[in-house]
This record gives sequence, C-alpha cells and structure tokens, in this order.
Amino acid sequence: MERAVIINKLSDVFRKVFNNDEIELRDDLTANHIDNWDSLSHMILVTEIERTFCIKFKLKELNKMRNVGEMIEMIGQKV
Amino acid sequence: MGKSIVIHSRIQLPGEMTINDFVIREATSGDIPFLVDTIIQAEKSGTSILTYTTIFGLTEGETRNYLARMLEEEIDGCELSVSGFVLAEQEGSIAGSVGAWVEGSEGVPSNVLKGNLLSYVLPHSCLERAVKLNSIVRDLHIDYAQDKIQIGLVYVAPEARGKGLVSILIDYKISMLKRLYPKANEAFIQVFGNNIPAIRAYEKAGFEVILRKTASLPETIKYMPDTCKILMRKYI
Repeated sequence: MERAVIINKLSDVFRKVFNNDEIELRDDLTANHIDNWDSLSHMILVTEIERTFCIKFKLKELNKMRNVGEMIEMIGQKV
Repeated sequence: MGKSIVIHSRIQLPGEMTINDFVIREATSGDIPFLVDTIIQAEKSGTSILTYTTIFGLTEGETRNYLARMLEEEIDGCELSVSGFVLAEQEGSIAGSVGAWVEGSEGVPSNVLKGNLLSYVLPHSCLERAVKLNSIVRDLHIDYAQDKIQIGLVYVAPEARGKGLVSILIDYKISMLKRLYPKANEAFIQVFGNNIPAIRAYEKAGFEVILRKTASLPETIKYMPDTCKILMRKYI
C-alpha cells in the first residue's frame, strides 16, 4: 500500500476517534499535540487502525511507535 | 531482586506504646495479586464503582484477570507497570502499596503505554462500549505533566491505616525516582473529590490541592466514583 493511501486512511481514523475533522497528520505528530489523547482514546485508536488496515500489532510494536511517522511506517510493513 | 529498607513507625495507643515495623521494598511479578487489589481499590475510591466494569462492561473478576495480564507484560513508565510500585510489609503481610512514574520517561506518554496495554489485552467487545462512553472518561481527564513524578495508585489495607504509611510509601518512591530523574522537581497526584481520607493523607504527605475539575455531563456519576477530580502537587 502506498504511503499516501495509508496517510489518507489513517487521517480518517484519527478524525473519527478524536471527533475532530481538522486533524492533519504529519510525521512528528504525537499524543502531546492532540487534545483528549488519553489511554482510552489511544486504545480505541489502535483498535480502529487494526480494523481499518486488517492488521494486528504486537505489544512491542505498539510501544516502539513514538509518533505518527513511525506509526505510518509500521502500518506499511504490515499491510 | 529489589532493594528494601526497614522503617520504624511509632504510634501511641491508649495506655501502651506499640512499635510497628514496615519493610518497604520494590514490587516484583510475585506481588501482582496484591497490585491488582491496589488498582481495584484505588480505582473504586472508597465507593463500589469500578471504572473498568462501568466503562468496559467487565465483571470485577474479569477485570482482575485482565489487570494481572497487563501487569505481567512488565511495561515500564505507566500506572500498570510492576516496576513502578513499592510495597510495605508488616509481619509477612503486605500492608500497602504506591505506584508512581516520571511522565514521559520511556519516551512515550504514559497514556499511550496504558492504551497499548488495554488494546492488546482487552477483548474487542470492550471497545464498542468504551467508544460510546469515551466522552464520560474525557469529562474528568486531567493531563499528566511531562517530566514530573506522577503518583498513580495508592492503597493501604484497612488494618494498616492511621500509621502514616501513605507518607512513608510516597516519600520512599519519590526518593527512588528523584535519584533516577534529578530534574523531576514536582510530584502530582490525582484523586476523586469524594475521597476525603485520601486527600487528608496526601496533605499530610506534603501535597496541596491545585486544581478541581468538575464533570460537565450529568451521566458521569453513573460511571465514575465522583463527579469531581482533584489534582494535588508537592514540590520536591
């Protein structure tokens, strides 16, 4: 899957989970940049990403992802 | 094996002097059953409401099993980290525990680490319910201050209360973290407003109230122990 396609799909997931249509993904985006990114929102985010891309993360993979850029890269490796 | 220290706490009872010896030590994976109790009791905040059951639709028994599984993953840097807990033992029984971490010390926010554990361990059936109730959880959410010590979970067994154990455990844990992270100059603790005994205990430990957040949604009280969350701070 092309990176641009991943970003498009991932943007939809972020906007839905955080209920904010103005979210624009960039590689250095982290939980510190988005309001209400708490543990429950993160759980929902991860599960929605897994559903959207039909993938399943290992816990080690989840904990390695420090920002959206690393998330995109990880998704790219798994799809 | 973790380090341990013996702290002698004297209390005066009517007509007699009693000396209680608490052995304070770091938690290990063998302590997970007690840590699960700590998390359950701390989450209930003196009420019968457990957010893991109200938000995820789990029974208390299921919650215990999932909490144990999350603790067994031994992920550092969040409230579900075995390495974050210290325990007090008295005559071979665990009398209390405190869990704490420095926010962001693992390079990832603690909320992300906890969210990773929740998504990895909890069944997807929990998600449907959680999505609907996310606004309730957000209603009382207070961010963790970056690079500061966060006291996450505190529990003292009923028979060990009134002996200053909360202060002993918190001070011990703060000292441990301060040695590892000398720049962490403040410690924070979040507590539900209904938990007056806990608030008093934290005040005795040197914390002061700096923020009260009140729920804006009327249904919050159905899912949370209280409609007010308090943030307390101690300079260290």
